[in-house]
Amino acid sequence: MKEQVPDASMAVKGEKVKDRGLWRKFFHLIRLAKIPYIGLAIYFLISLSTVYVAVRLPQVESDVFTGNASVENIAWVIAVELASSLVAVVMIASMGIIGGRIDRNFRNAIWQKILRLEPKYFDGVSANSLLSRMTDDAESMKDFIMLILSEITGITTTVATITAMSTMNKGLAVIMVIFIPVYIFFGFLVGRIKMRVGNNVKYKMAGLTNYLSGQLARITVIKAFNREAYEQKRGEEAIRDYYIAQRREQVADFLQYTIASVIHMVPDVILLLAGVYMLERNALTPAGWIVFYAYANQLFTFFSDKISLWINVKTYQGHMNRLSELFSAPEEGIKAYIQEEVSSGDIVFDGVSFSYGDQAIFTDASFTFPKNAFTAIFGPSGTGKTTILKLIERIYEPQEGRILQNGHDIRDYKLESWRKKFSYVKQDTPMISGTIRDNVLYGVDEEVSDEQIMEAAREVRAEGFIMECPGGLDYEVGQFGDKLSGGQRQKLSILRAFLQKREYILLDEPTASLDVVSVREVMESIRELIGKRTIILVAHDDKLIRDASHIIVVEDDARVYEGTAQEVGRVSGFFRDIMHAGGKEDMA
Amino acid sequence: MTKKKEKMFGGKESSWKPLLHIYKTVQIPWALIILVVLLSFGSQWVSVQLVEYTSKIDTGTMTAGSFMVGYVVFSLISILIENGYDLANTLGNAKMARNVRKKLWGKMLRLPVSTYEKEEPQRLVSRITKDATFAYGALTSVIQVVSVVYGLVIAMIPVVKIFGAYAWIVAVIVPVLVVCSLAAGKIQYRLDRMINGAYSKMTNFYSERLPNITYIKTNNMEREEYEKGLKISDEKYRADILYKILFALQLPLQSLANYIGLVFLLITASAMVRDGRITPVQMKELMLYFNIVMADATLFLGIWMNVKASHGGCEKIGEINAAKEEDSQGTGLVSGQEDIVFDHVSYGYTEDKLVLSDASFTIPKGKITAIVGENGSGKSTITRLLERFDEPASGEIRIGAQSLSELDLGRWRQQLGYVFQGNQMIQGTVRDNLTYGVMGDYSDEELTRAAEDAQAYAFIMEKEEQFETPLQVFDTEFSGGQLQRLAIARAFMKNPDYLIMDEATNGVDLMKEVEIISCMKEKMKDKTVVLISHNMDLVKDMDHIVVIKDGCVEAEGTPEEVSKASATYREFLGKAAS
Repeated sequence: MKEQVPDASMAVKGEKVKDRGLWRKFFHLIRLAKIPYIGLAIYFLISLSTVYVAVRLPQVESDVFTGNASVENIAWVIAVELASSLVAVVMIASMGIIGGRIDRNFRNAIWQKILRLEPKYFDGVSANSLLSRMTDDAESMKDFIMLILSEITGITTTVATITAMSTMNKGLAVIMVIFIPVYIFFGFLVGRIKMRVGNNVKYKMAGLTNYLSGQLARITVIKAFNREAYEQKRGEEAIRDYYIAQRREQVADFLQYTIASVIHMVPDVILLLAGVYMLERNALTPAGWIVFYAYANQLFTFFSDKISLWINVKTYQGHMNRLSELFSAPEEGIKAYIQEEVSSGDIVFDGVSFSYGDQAIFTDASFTFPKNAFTAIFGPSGTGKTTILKLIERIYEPQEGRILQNGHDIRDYKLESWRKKFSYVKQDTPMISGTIRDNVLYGVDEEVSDEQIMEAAREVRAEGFIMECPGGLDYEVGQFGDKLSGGQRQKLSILRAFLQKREYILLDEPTASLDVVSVREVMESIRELIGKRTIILVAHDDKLIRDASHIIVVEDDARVYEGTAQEVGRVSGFFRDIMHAGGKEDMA
Repeated sequence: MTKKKEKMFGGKESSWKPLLHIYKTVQIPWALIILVVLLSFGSQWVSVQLVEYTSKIDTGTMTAGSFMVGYVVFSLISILIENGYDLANTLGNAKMARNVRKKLWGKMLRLPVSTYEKEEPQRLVSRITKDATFAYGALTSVIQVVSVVYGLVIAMIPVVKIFGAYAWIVAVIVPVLVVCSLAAGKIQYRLDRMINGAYSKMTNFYSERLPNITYIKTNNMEREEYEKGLKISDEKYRADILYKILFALQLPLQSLANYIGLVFLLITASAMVRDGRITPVQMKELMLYFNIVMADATLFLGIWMNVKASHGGCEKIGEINAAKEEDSQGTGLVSGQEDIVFDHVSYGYTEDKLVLSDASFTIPKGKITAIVGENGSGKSTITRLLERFDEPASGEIRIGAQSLSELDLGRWRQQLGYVFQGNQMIQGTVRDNLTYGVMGDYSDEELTRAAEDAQAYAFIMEKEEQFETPLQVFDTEFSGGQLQRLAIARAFMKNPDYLIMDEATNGVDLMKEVEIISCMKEKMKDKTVVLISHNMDLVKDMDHIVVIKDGCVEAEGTPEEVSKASATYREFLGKAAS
């Protein structure tokens, strides 16, 4: 299992959120939760019985403790105690079911949204922060909704209690009510301090986790450079920082709880003195006092809880803001499409400009990928060759100009039908936990037999290692495919592209990790597809492009040339240099 | 690479050794623990003192004057003691966790690399962050036994004074309490395991897909992945609600003893009140004392739970703590001017499958040796053996006349430069990274020079912050080829006696590769270089070539010699040229 690394930004940025729009966002998000209203209604009906018990129990108990320990009274107390524990069981269980449902619904809604987002959304976002959207944020939204639900019950109880108190003894009730604002004020004050101290702890923890997970991923580098002692010192610093933050929080907790308890003593003592005074003058019966004091304690408890509520609301707000930002991000493929069916044809870049932020990749570039031909995109590393593939796949959209296929702007095609035309072999080849078979059949629509897989495997020289794996095609590749080597993953990725049998094959440096023999065989298999499929290959190795009938060179200065090897050799300095360095002057 | 990855840590019925080993080797915050125990005595004492006051207040029989003063004083003492107890306890926990963390991190840095291949490194993060917090619980719990017993006794004495038969009630209740708590604990443990399992399954699913959304999209698998996600999510949901329902159902079990005691108490005590044998205030006192007794009894049972929690939680870290460190016994030193000789070296991840079998060859000093072979033929194993990340299963590697395994490990690695394929950057700035291997001072000219030689200077300077550009381990704004060049620049900065380049120029375009290699030749003049590459144009110009096939040495020698002796080499050359 890969441990989740909390993003450090989460802890820090959480506090910088604006208070405004909290409820608007809340109601927008709450629709996604598809709250089970019937379950909720039942829950509320049951919870009303707890309100009744909270008001009634002190009355009976006061009767008992002022001398009327009658069998009926005792029986009532016992019955109520048992009944409330049963009610608690039902309430906790139903709360759990409702909460679990809300949690699941949020999670599913987020997952769906993430799958629909425009791919460029993921450029600036780390996978870890997405994971915390799926887990922490979803759960926190559930907690928030559940908190509001339980607060509603709490408030009902409180109102009922205060009402009961004021009918019993106005004077004492007034003393109680006067202190409520003091409690709330203190709560907000402490809440703010606590949040700051608490955030610091989270921040330091995130820092420690980040440091550890980064360093553990590079343990070979640390060892190769003999820097264990240095890293130990750095690690100890992060550990100490976290400890200091923790210590500060714990001292703050101590002060907060101590002060809160001492503050609580004030109304308590005033109430007691007033009680003694009234009892002595018979303005209050002992029974009346017992009930009243029990109510007062209920109220104190209710309001002292509000300190933590304030902190929680702030945290929820952070989670909520991140979620609503996610949900307002644009999705792809929602624009109306004109063409459902995609025919085959040349792909033409017509005056296309594209830039990442300020960095222009190419401006007003025009070139063509002829149908059923083998086109190579060639150029120094870092010039945006991969970007061309991404533009074709509609992972990015050009900022200016059009990409045409068969005369249609590719944006006019239904996105799904369009992508179905392509197989894409990436430079870094992702795998997902599962068997080799699962992975090579990923995105393959038709039924493929094991024999067919192995036949294709032979072409990419993958047969040997598949056979050697225990279980062959049933071999589990591990998380991210990390039980396979880079070269093996790359071969499987090419194998998958062959099995997908799609019309266009996009290859992004497909042989970077392969040995010469494997490269040869893979390229041979690719060559066999010339004339049957449209092949587009990105490479900076001159040997791969020898079979290409059409070459596109992207230069360092963002200039783009196209044509046959001879044609581009005439205009592109880079191309000439490479061919020269590779000792292949005869080609030009 | 189908090596079997057996977990080094875990499995097997656990012993207490790991936990005890932690207590033996990690500094324990005794002062805080003693304070916790003292405060817990105080807390027991004050809660018994308060009963007299609370029972009067709760029955409307309190008075002003000294009663009120006593109430306020004891309340304040109670507040201080209770909160002080919490503070000391949390501080003690944090301090203990800090000490464990420091110890563990130092240990982890010195474990053999092979350990990290058996244990997923990212899992070790939570060993330090989370597991370390479990070490404290058992310590204080065990010591607190005394104060809990003290509390039980001082709460029982007044009860028995008022109501002699009550001792019998307690005698009946305690076994019930023990049985119920143990049962509840068992259920709770199962529930936790179930929910953790469902959670980690779900997290695994998402965490594998979230970095690969584009991959999902390009394969048109959105719908399938959505469906799969729903299924996993539903599993978690079902585990969630099952957990909550079972959790709710076992609650009465937990408080069963409490209820039995309470009902018994209410019935008998109320009968005594009706008979006039005790006053209602005394009945209230009885109930309050009963609460203290029950609370202490629960605490008492909790001690075992806490000890178990420490035991379970520290199992893995205890094993890590006790695991064997990398061998640092060697004291041998080499000048850096020696041949490296592999003498009948075998290595395998499992017994029956050797990655390297009986390999003998020489890496001559002051020359560049290229190692050639197919994917998976065992080339990288050679570099790992040289770094001493792994030790040979049989045979010997010699540096000059000395055995590699007898060298001072730290000094040897200091003499090596190692660049392999993939992101090798550590957290920090570009400068931090490039100077990672530099032990003394360096000048900015040297830094610039190394970056230039590795063809990295231009793209570093293009960044806004240049050499101060931060690098991350998992997400980075540099391309694969650029990262590769940074790693080469770093090796150049280190200025090693022996340089190993294991497909170090993958992802770097041909022009730059040629530049890098010629700068490397210049820099490493008279020093020893091991180069692993699939680029035959480079390989064929090297001084010495070793051809590896299926873990065996097929040939070694000059390019001419090798091309005569090795069919594999000829095939490689042929395929590359055609």
